[in-house]
Amino acid sequence: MHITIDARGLSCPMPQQMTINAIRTAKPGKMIIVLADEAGARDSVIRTARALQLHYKLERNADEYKIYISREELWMEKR
Amino acid sequence: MRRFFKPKTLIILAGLLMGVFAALLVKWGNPPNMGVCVACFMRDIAGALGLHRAGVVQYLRPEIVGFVLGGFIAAYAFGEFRARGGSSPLARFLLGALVMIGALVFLGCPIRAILRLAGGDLNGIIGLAGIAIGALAGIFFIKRGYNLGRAIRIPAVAGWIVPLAMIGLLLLAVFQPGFIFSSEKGPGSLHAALSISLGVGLLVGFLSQRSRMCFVGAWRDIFLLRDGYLMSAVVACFMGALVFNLILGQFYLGFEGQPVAHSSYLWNFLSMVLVGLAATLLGGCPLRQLILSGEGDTDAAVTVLGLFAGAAFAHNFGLASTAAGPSAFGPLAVILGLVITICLGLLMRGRLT
Repeated sequence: MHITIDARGLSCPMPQQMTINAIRTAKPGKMIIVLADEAGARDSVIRTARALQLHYKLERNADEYKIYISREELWMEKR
Repeated sequence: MRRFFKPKTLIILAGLLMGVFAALLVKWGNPPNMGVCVACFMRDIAGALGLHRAGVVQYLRPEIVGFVLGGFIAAYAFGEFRARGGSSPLARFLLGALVMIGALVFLGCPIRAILRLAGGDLNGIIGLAGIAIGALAGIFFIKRGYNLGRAIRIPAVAGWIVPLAMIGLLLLAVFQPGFIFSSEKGPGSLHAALSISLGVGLLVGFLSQRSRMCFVGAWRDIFLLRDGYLMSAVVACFMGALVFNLILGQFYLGFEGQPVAHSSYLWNFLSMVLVGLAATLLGGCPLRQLILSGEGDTDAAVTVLGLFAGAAFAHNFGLASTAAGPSAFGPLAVILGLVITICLGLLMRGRLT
């Protein structure tokens, strides 16, 4: 279904590195969900997705961020 | 809150203003090629507080206060203030001290390496090469599984300690009670007016927090992600400082005889390898650690304490360089620092649950 990466509470560049690892090992069609709890980490993961030219969608839930990353266009893509 | 600037525009602006104001601060009184140097300025504050007694480098630099408070205001205003901590604080303290020791052997932090180059000091290239190599080494350890563990949320009051302490430092700087040291000669005696230094610090600190500016992360992201977002600030800083240095007649090209600098290629390089590696393992350059500590990140705050402690040790044990070159024990400290940092890089590989 999807791979969840828990990057909460981690310093730069762990969120980026975990995201890269997940993207590299994900089978085609799988979505990656990265959890972050700091704005800096959120931005780093988004920059990682953009650098790898992947589609992403950001969801904010109180103090936590969920970044959905996939090769396909994500419905309701928003920043 | 709405975004007023596109991210790329904001970070380029942040870098540009850092460079421009760094050049202007030299004109307004800061030491040559040292309009902004986070390492040197934290060392000066350590001296002002009596943590070391090197008489020529003691002054409560308002720029540092400004960076933290500017970042704090930005974080608070945009809802990004989060008190957090608990990810390997002691290791961070040690790495912070090693970053400072490396920087004091080079005589500059990663920002000053850029500013020295923008002032014509070609030793800056050697320093930047060291940072790049250090960042590459840091990436190697990170790919192997190095991490400092997770930080958790802690009560908000803990996150207020650093901003309030900085206000305390500001009060000390304004009222200059008798127990505060203040150089009468040497680099510590060269400073712009307090309000100007503070104002620049606040503005740059605010923009740094919003843009996530980081002078070591810039190199790291190029190698790790092929992403130039952070590097665009570094380039903008260089360009801004270069142009204004030329306009203000503050540009002298060469390796020798540069202000507050030495030209030992080997130790300029190795000391910045230590800085680049340790800062990559810490997750950010000294400026970034200051900004994060204003955001409530107590792990960054412990790193800041480590930076102050490293400065105190460096000057108490004669590790810091002078314009004449590295000191007797500075190079040894750099080698030891590299060994310790490499050990941390190899061995801090806790499993993340």
